[in-house]
Amino acid sequence: MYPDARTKTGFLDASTGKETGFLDVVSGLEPLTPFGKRLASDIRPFMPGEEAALEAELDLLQGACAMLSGEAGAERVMDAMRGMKDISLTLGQCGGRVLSVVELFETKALLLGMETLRGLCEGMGGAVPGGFAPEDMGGLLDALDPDGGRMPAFYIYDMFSVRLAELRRERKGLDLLLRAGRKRLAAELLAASGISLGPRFETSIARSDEAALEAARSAPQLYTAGEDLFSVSFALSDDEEGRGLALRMDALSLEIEDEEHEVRKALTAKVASEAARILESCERVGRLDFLMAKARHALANGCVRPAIPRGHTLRIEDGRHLGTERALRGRGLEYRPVSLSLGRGVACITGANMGGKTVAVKMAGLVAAMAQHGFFVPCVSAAVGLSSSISMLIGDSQDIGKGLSSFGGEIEGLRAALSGSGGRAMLLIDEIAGSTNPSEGGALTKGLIAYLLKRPYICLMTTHFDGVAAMDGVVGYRTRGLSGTDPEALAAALGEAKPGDRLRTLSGLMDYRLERTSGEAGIPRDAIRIAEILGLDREIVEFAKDSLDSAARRIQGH
Amino acid sequence: MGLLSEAAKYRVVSLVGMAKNTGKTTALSALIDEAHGAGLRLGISSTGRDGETKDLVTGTAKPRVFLPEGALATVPAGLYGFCDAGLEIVKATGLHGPLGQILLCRAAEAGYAQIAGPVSTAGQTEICAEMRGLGADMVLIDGAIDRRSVAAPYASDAVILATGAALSGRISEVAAETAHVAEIYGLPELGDLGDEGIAEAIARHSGGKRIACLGAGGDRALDRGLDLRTGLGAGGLIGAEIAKGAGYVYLPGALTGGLLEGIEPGLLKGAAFIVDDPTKIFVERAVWRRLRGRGLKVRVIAGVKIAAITVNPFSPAGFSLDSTELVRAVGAAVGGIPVMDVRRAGA
Repeated sequence: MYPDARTKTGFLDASTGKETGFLDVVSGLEPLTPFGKRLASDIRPFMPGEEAALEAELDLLQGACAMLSGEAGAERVMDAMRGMKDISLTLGQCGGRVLSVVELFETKALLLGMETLRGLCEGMGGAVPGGFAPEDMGGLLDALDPDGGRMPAFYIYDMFSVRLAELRRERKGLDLLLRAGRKRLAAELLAASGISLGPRFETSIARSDEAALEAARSAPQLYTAGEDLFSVSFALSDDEEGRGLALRMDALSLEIEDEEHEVRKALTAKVASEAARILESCERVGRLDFLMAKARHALANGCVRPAIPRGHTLRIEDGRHLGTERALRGRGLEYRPVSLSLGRGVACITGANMGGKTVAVKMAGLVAAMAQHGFFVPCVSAAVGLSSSISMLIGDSQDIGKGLSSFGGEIEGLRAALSGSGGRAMLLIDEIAGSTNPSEGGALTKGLIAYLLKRPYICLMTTHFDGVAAMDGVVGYRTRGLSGTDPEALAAALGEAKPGDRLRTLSGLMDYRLERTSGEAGIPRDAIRIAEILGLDREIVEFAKDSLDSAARRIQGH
Repeated sequence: MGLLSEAAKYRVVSLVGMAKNTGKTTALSALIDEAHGAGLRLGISSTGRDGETKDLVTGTAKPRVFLPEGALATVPAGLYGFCDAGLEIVKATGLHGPLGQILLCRAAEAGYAQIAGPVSTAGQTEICAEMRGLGADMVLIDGAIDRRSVAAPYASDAVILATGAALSGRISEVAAETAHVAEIYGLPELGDLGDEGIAEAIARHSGGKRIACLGAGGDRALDRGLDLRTGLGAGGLIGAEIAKGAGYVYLPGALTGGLLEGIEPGLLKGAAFIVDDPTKIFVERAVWRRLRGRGLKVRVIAGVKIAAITVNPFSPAGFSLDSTELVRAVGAAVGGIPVMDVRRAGA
């Protein structure tokens, strides 16, 4: 589905879709009809300039949410959608050939489903978003349902054609006569030679039973139907009258077949004349279905309607990354929502290891991508100015297939992202060059920032290189990490925790919220602290602290 | 007549063949005719594709299924056009087979039809209930030709077992092989044990996946699950558990001769083996007899009721056995189960 979207709109490449969690959101939608499923797999973003269209889509989604939460009929609408089958192939061919009974049955079943759905939508009046109810197909349905019972069953019923009914009645009469004649013959046979036939007027006799065999062979009513080494099977042969009846029945059967074909031909023509309207109804049902799927997702995940300002900005209040939130909940942990406000330029998140920097970046990408595809977003409130592209670069994004090292892979991705960006691009960069040596990595990162500052992009990045966040023009954020935690409370909490539970306790105490930094706030020295808390050997921790202190003294000495 | 009066004691009856050409379809046709004659409304399904004119494996003639007017049947969309009967499509089941979606049909006009039902047991159970709901007095499932692949215990109330000369040219051999299957189908069920806790203990220690060894005499302290999914090569480990006091060994998969042979002969009588149903037992007759002699005990969670056994004295190899003698010998070997030759039933 989405991987080729970049070639369509240049908006989102597959890797960004995956890393932000947006693809999970799309694949987690549960449309109920084949038409809704098709819309979900062809989902497209609203591009800058299409703000009004996006607002209209969000209006519809808001309507769907209201319908789902307020209308008792919504559940029945979903039930009516569930059984629908895509018959577009049948409809596409009904101009050129006669539809089979199975195809006519499927057409009738779909029309019945549509009629039910239409009735439900009418009952809800204006509550159905966009008026996406199927069209009235009553006329065609009447043609396929001659007795008006509106049952989903289908057959070339006698009611379709007077001639068909007559032919069938005639054949049935002949059949009764034929069976009666055979029964009479079988009774004569039994009386004359003591041979009894089964319900199919046949019997098989062992060769060892010579008397019975001789009797059967000499009975004029029987003929030999099959033989093997040990037995002979006999069947009743019809008399003159019976043969005549059988021949007339064969001829009638052909006529019946022809008449059935005529009925199917007439019905096919009726279906063909309405094919365009049926397809239009499928389209509408698909729109309603897809909207309701998005609305169910929004309601289940506490999503809100984003504001769509005309400018290029991203403002998020208490945003949640849905995949991470689900994973944390699965482990009994709470997700701490994150707020941020980005405009054109570079914003840089620094902060403690384990502090949720990467998740914050993914969340920003997810909210932006969801809003731009006409979803409600997992925030308390959000304003999303449309981007022309969103690219996410995740550190350590090794592509084993290309045999590139971690760093090489990043640079390759960066080059691709920069060359693909233009206009109102959004770049999300997580720990670029993080795996290389600090002096070179820091220099590269600064170079990148200087480059990005000159461009009209929204750029959000994380780094742990010193001095990057303090560059002129860079908006600094930092995760609070453990900075707000009382050290004694921390020690107490960890002391109580079982050794295997420490990581969990620690991430429970971690404050993932972002706060703005100004100037040289410095990188928080949480790494050593966390290592100490997690019980790394004291000797190692002490050495690291000493080494950091002497480095600081050297800098002050200069 | 004979077969119907046995089958009509049950609501859903599967027809199962001991082998190809044991007369399963003949028995089905006879049942349909009898039931129609008796005014019963039938539902007819199949565990896979059936009703072809030619038997796909051996090429011998095989009648299609004749549907009397009003009978319900499962017909795949891909074979609908090949049916002589006038079939009203009542419902698309949403279940798919190799020949397209399975359609639930009603014979508006009597005639021959190609029957194929859902492959899964769950699907089969659903269809049977559906046909009963649509007014079928009795549902017949044209089952597998291999008794071990029958989904009988869960989808149907009873089976009709078809046996005959296709198994062997010797009447005594046909009778013994049939009796072997009848014995396995008739193994005692777990519920008969009177050990209330055992089903729950199996569920807890097996989780539907692992071999569970349960203490003899309800001693729950000895209960444990073995980290083996199947019994293949597990004989030694199971033997060790029996030596430690396990009284029951539950196998989530198949009970095979190989597994049983891997257990030290002296230990075998120490425990009863439990499997889900008789179709999970893959022990050939000679091995079964020998191990039973050594005290092998087997129980099933759900057994299979045999309503009747039909015999076909004709072999596709071209010979036939004496029908009267075959019926007598099979009847004597299985004891208590009605046995008949459907083709001679009217004679």
